[in-house]
Amino acid sequence: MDTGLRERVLAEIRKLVVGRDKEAELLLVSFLAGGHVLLEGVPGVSKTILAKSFAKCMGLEFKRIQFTPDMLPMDMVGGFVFNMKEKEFEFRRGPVFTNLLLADEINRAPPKVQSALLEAMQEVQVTVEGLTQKLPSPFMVIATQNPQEFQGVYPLPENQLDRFLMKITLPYPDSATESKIIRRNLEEMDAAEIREVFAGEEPEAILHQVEQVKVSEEIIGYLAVVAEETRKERRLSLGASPRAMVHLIHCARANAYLNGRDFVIPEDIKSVSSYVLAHRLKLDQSAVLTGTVADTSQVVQDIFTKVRPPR
Amino acid sequence: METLLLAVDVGIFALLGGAIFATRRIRPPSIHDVAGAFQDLDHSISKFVPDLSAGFTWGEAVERLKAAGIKVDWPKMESSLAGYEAFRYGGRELPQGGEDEVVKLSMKIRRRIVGYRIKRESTSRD
Repeated sequence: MDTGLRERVLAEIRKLVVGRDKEAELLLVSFLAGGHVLLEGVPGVSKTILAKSFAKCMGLEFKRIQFTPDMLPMDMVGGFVFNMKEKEFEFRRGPVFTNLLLADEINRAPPKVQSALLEAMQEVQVTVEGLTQKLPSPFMVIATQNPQEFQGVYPLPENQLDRFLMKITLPYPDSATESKIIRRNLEEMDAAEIREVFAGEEPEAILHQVEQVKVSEEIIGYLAVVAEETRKERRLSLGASPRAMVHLIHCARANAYLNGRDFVIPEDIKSVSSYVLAHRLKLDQSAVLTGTVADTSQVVQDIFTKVRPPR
Repeated sequence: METLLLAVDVGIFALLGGAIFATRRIRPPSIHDVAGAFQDLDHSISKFVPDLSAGFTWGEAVERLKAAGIKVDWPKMESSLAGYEAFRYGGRELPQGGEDEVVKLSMKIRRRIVGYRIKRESTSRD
């Protein structure tokens, strides 16, 4: 168990990003859990720099796609181009062939592009004209979206949101953090300052160790009860899917690993539950209209307050 | 007048003595291992710490009780908890010993003084 990994990653990210420790830690949990992240926040709250810094310190190949409404799937996955010299068509890889892909403003891309990306996320491969190409491993997508945009956007439907392991909302920083950000930006910032926290093949070995983290039968039973509660909850019209619960246990494993344990405790589940579950749930219209609940995160917290974990 | 004051004094001291006796009367349960101690602590928290909901985890309970200013040897208590969790969720051997501090904490909670303190603190926070 590498108890110092979290601290090493946070120390590197802090060199460029101010006040985003929690979000950086959640990115690390998602990476170790083998999932993809949706970052939501208004422009200028350090979504892109956070993703870039994370990729740099993890030693991952990083590519960024700025999604636009006129984009085509081949702009992302690549396509066949004619090689005049060889007089044949050859496959030219698109930017999706990388370790960490920043899909900036995913909700501005048309549904065809979104589903092509989501297929890549799910299968870790792309198929163009019958040719299937494996994506590099590890493969992680960090997609961003602006919650304040309503024109020229294609909101992700529920089934696509369900593919994201976590949704992390980046709020505005508090005034003390904001002062630090302004001060930091007056100085020269250099991404080269961020050093890799791994050497050689270490990420693969760590991912393997995370997979070995033990989950007891009682913990699985606890998750099943939580899932059932989300489906019975009157304030929700859509409960958690089995995939959501699988994602939750993967995140709990990663969390246990980062805390130096080789087994999951209920705390590991609770601490990531809102980030993993909230974006997959849908509030019931009557709950929205009567204002009985602010958002799905609150419902998740209420459920975890009610369900007794194995103690 | 003096007799009346004396009677009032005797009454006050009798009440005080009774209260102290009542808290001391709660004897530590016969607990032989750390698993039993944590089951007992779970029972005490569920009954006497009103602001910890049914879904509380051990980490949350420790944080809450520490914040309430309960005086036990917390590093020892946390070490017992780590051993118990490894047994409970990790399939390890149950650690030998380490239950004393857990029992002590449980008793402090049961003696309601702590319960009152937690209640008062949570009310003042609201």
